[in-house]
Amino acid sequence: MTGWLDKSLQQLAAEDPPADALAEVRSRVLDQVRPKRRPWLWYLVPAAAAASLAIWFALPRPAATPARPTVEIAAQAPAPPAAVPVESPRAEPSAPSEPVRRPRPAPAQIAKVETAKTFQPRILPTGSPDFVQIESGNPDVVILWSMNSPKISDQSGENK
Amino acid sequence: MAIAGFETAAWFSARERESAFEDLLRSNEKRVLRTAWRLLGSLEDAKDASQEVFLRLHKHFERLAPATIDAWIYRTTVNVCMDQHRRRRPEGELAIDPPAPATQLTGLESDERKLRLERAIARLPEKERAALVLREIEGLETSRVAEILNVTDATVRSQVASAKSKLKEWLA
Repeated sequence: MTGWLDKSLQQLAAEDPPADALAEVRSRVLDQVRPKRRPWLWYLVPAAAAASLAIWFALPRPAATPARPTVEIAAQAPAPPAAVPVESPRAEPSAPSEPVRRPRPAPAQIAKVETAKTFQPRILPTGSPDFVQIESGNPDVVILWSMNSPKISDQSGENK
Repeated sequence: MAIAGFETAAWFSARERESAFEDLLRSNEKRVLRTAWRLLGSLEDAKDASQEVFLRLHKHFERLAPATIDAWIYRTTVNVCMDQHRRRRPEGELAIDPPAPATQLTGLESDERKLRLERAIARLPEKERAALVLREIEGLETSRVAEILNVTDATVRSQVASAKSKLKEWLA
């Protein structure tokens, strides 16, 4: 009896499960563990890209930024000192004349100049009747205008 | 026992991971399904149990040392089968498949005798059935069965002897 039982158990062990059962288990397992493939994604990606491009082209674009008036400011050269009505100190040495300031530009013009970040030169008094100071854009540069000579001197040594 | 296609439990890329798992699945599916079939007595129930075993394996196999995967698979198979048996048939009766065609039973005297043996195995207590299936049908060493079932070697020998004694009595 014992020999029959051992033999029967061994024959049960030798009996493999049917191949279709193995394939079914394998298929069920792999279906669950494999990442889901989404073929529609391959259509969705280019469609989304095309839609993005269409929206980008359809959107209104801001107007181009106007050019800064650099040329216009550069054209406003310092006024010639001849316009300043300063009398010669030789004519009246006892009464030094006051420097006449140029009229300030209109507020709109100031705003325009400030927006353009350019410099508007001014003529300042020096305390001496022989010279007037012309403000330069560089704080290290001082321009003194001699009333007796047309030559412009630059204290910093730079040629203007 | 070496496991084909699984040499290291290192980190895998997603594709390598799936490939390694598929190798594990293919190299273990036969014995898992066969063990579950013998423990549950029903091929349909065994398919469900095998599926559950491999889904658990997929979740954990990267953290398992290669040397322990065999024992882990057998232990999980036994546990899943016992859980499934308790959940589906609380009365303790196993669903025994009808006898297979005679052509598949090359050594058994008859389909009837095979069916009687399967029914007798199904009547065994859970632990004795697990020990008998792993030791006598899967052919594992006693120490291996003891490791899988987390008992001593002596307990395995005792359970197998008890199971055989009952089978002899029932099939006499």
